[in-house]
Amino acid sequence: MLLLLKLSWRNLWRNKRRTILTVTSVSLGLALLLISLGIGDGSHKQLVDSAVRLGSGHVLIQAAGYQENAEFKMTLSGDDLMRIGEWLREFSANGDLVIESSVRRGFISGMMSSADGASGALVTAVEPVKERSVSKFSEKIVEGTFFEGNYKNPVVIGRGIAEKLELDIGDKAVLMAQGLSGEEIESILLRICGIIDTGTDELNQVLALVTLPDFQKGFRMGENVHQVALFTTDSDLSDKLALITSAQFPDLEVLTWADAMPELRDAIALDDGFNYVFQGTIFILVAFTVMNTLLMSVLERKREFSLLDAIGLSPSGRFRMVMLEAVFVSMMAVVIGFILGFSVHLYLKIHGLPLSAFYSDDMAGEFDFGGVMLDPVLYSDLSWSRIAGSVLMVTSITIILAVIPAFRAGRAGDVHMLSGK
Amino acid sequence: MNNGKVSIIFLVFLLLFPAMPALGQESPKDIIDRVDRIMRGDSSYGVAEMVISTKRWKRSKTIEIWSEGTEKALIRLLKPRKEEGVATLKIENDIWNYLPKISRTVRIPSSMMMASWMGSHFTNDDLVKESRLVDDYTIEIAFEGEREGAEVWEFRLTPDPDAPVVWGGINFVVRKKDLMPVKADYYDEDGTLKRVVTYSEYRNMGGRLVPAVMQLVPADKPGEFTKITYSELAFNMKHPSDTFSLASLRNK
Amino acid sequence: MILFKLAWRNLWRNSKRSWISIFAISTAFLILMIMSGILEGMSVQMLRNGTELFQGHIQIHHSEYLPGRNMYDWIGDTEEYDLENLLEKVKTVDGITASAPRVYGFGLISTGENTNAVNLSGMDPSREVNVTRLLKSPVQGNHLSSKPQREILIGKTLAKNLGSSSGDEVAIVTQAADGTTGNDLYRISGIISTGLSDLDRTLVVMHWRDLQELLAMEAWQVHEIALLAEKPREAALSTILVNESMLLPPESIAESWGDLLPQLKEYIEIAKSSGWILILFVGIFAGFGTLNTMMMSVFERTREIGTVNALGMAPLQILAMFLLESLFLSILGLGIGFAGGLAIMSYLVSNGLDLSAWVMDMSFAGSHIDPVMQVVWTWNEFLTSALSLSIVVLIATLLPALRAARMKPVDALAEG
Repeated sequence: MLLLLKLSWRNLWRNKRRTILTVTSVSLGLALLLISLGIGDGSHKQLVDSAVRLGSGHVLIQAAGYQENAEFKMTLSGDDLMRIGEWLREFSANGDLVIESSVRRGFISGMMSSADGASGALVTAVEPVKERSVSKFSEKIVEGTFFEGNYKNPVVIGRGIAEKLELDIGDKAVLMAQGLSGEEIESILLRICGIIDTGTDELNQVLALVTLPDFQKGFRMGENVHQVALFTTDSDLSDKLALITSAQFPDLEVLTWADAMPELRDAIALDDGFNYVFQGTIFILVAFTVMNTLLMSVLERKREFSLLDAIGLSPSGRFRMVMLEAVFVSMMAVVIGFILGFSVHLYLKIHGLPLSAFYSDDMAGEFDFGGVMLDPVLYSDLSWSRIAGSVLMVTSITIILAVIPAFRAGRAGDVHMLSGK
Repeated sequence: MNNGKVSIIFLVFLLLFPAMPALGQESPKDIIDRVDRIMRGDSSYGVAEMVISTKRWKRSKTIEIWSEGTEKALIRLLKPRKEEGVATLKIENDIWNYLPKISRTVRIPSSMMMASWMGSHFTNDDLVKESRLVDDYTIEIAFEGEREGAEVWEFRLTPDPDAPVVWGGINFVVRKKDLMPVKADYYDEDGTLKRVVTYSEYRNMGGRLVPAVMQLVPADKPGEFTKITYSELAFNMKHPSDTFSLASLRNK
Repeated sequence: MILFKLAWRNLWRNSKRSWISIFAISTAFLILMIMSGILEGMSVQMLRNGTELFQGHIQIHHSEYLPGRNMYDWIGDTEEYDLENLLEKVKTVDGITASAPRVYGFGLISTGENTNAVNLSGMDPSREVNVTRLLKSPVQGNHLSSKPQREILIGKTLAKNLGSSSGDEVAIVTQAADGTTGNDLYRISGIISTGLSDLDRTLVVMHWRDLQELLAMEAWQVHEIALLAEKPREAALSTILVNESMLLPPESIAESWGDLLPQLKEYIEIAKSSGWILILFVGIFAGFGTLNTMMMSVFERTREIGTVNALGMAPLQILAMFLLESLFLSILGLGIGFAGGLAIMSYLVSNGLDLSAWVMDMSFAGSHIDPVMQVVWTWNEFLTSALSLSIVVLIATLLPALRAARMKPVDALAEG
C-alpha cells in the first residue's frame, strides 16, 4: 500500500503540467462555489438584518391574534410586560444565545394632516433611546434628528409624507386615529423632528414614528403596548430564541422575523432556489472537468499501464493507483480551492462587493428587495457548515468520477499494448 | 379634540352672534369668549341653500340643520331629488351618513375625515372639530379701525403650541357695531393663505341679526367656492331628546 | 487542402481524445445556453409577475391622471370620443394584442357594522381577462359575470376586516363626478386573493359600467386603458407606436411598464446583474475546463509535433494544422452542444424549470411568483457564448502548439 501511495504521488509529478491543470480546475471550482455561497448567504443575511433592524426584531412578542387581526385593542397589558421584563432579567445566556436588547412598540393606522393636505399614516411608537441602539431608523434620517430635538410630541415621518403634506422640520401636523376607547377618533398635534428615508417608497409614504409615552397618552392606552421586540446577536438564532420565548409565554403570540415578514422569507427562499441552480451548474462543470482530465490522462498513459502490468501490478492495483491519484488531486485541490475561496470570502466579508459596479444605471442609494431595502454593498457570509458541505461535495465528486478512468486503467494494461503508441 | 378648521357647526353658530353693543373695555379674549359662550349650549334649527362650485360642476343643495350645543348636529338634504333624505349626524367626534337610496347608515372612519363632506369644500373633519377658539388660540387685536366703510376689529388668532390644529393662524375680522363676523383668513405655518371665509347679507332671522350668507373659498383652487345662504333660522327651541340619534337619522 | 485533410485525419487518429475535447466544448456551450435562458426567463417572469396581475404592459391615461388620480382626469378630458373604436383600433398597432378599459374611484365600503376606505376598480371582465390575471386569480365564490349586475370582488384581507363572505350585501359610498354622493348596494360575488397584502386589503373590483354609474360618469369616460404587449420586454417600442398612431384622444398618453413601475425595472436590472455575475462564474469555469482539456490534449502531443517537425513540416504549417484542428473541434463541439441545448431548451421553454421541490408558492418583490421558473430563448447570448468558447479553444490550442512548433524536434521527441 505504501508503495502504491508513493507510486501514485510520483505519477502525479511525472506529468506536472497535467496535474497542475487538474488541480487548478478543481480548486477553482471549489473557490467559485465558496464565493457564490458566501455572496448568496451574505446578501440574505443583510436583507434579514436590514428588515429586522428597520421596525421589526429577531423575535416579536404580541398579544395572541395580533399578527392576524392587528386590532388596536389587542395589546400586551402592564401585567404581561412585567412578566416579560422579569423573564428578560432572569434570562441568563443560554449557550450562544444572548438577548441584546428588547424594545416596546405600539402601532396605529390613521390620518395625518397639515394645512396642505392629508395622508394615510402607519404610526409606530418607539422608545427612542433603546430603538436607536438596535434599529437603523436613526441612520436613515435625512433631515432633522431621531427624537433628539426639544419638541413636544415629536414625530419622525417618511419622506413621502413630508413631500405630500409639505412638511419641514419644526412644522406641525395633526394625527387622527381611533384609539383604545375604540369609539372616538383622537387628534394629536405632532411636531416634525425628523424626516426618514427608509429606501422603500411604499414605506416612505406611510411611515410615522412617535415616542411611546406620547402614543400611550394620546391614544389612552395606559402602559399597554402592542409589541415587545427582542434582538439577539445573529438572525440565525431567531428560531431558537422564539422557541424558548413561546415556551415561556404560551398565552402570547411569539413570532420570528420570518413569521412577521413572510414575503421576505419567500423572496429569500426563491433567491436561494436560483442560487442552487447556478451552484449546481458550477458543480456539474467541476465534475465534467475532473472526469475529462482524468480520462484524458488515463488514455495517454496506456503505455505506462502496460509497463506496470508487465512488471506485475495487478489490474486492481492499477485501479487503486489511479484512485489514489484522484484522492491526492482532490486533497490538493481542496486545500488550494479553500485558501483561494476563503480569502476572497474574507476580502468580501471585510470590504464588500459594491453592487453598483455591476450595472450602469445611476441608481444611487439602496436597492429594494422583497420590500426591504438592501445596501448597495454586499458582504460575504460563509458558515463552516457551508464550507464543509462544499469541500465534501467537491472531494466526493472528484473521487467518484475517478472510478471510470481508474477502471479503464485497470483494464488497459495488456502486455501487447506495450508495442502500441 | 379641538381644531381651528372652519367648522360648519361653528359657522352656523357664528350666525347666532347677538346684536350686542361693543364694550370697549373688554380684552380680545373676552370678546371672543363671550361669542364662544353664547354659541355653547344653544340650540337652533335652520334651512339653507348650499351652492358648491368646482372646476367641473356647480350644484345647489338645500339643507336642513338641527343643532344642540357644539356637540350635536343633524343635517339633512332636501334637494336635489337625487340626494333627498341623505343625512349626516354628528355627535361629538363621530359622523354617520345615512343614505336613503340603500337605507344604510355608514360611519365615517378616521381615514376619511379629511375627505369632502357632501361634495363641498368642507371636510368631514371641519364638521367634527368644534372650534373652541378661546381654548385653542391666543387671541390679540391686530388691527382696529375702518375697513371697507365699517369699524372693525381684526383679531389675530395664534394656535397654542399643543392645540391639534393644522393652521398657523387665523385672521378674524369682526364688525364693531354689532359684532357681526366679516371675514376669516386661514393661514398655514409659513404664512401662506389657505382658505378664506366671508360673511355677508346681515339680516334679522329668528329674532337676531345674522349674516345670512357664508362663503368658503379655498386659496389653492381658483374659481371654486362653497356658499351657504340661510333662508330660515330659529333659535333656542327644545329639540326632542331623540333628535340626535341613529334612529332619527334614518327616520326624520 | 492537404492541411485540411491532415488536420481532419489527426482528429480521428486519436478519436477518444478528440471526443473528450468535443464533449468539454459542447457541455460548456450547452450549460451557458441553458443558464442564459434561465436568467432571461427569470427576468421575463419577474416582468410578467409584476405587470400581468393587474397593471398590464402598457397603460393609456389622461396625461395628468398620474400620480394624483383625480377622478376628472379621464381619457379624452372634456371631449367625447369613440371609446369602443379606440379599444378595437389600438389592437391593430404593431405588438399590441389586447386592450381593456378601466375606471377607478375611492370610497367607503360598509356592512353597517364595519366600514373601510377602499380603492374601487371598474373593469370589463370579458376584456380584462385578455390583458391581466386579476380576474383569473383564485377566488372564493364566483368571479364577476360579464354583465353589469352590481356584483363585486373584494380582497381577502378586506373581507376579513369587514367580516363578510361571498353572497353578502354591502354598501359602497363615494363622491360622484357630479358632486352628489354616489351610493349603492352590491353583492359580494367572490373574495379574491392576489398574494399582495396591499391589494388584498383595499381592492374592490366591479363591472366598469356599474362603477361608471356609481360615479355618475358617462359611458365613454374611463381612467385607463390597459394594453397587452405581444413581447413585454419590447413594450417601450409598442408604446411609442401607440403614441404616434394618432388614435389617442388629445391630452392622453400611453406609457409602458418601465415608465409606470420604475422599481420593477430596478428589481429586474439587479436580478439580472447578479445573475450575470453567476453566469460569468459559470462561463469562466466552463472556459477554463475547456482550456484545460484542450491544452492537455495538445501537450500530450508534443512528441507527435516533434515527429512531423523532424519530417520537415514548417512551424507555420504545424500551427495552421493545429488551428484547423481546433476549428474542427469547435465546430463539432458547438454543433453538438447546440443540438443538445436546443433539445433541452425546447423542453424547458415549453415546460419551465420546476423549483417546487425547493420553494413553495410565494411572492417576490411585491409580485406573486410561480415556483416553476420560466425559460426563454436567448439567441444573442448563444452567439456570445459560442464565440467566447471558440476563442477559448483557439487559445488552448495556440499556447501549447506555439511552444511545440518552436521546439527543436529532438527536444520534442525527448519530452513525449
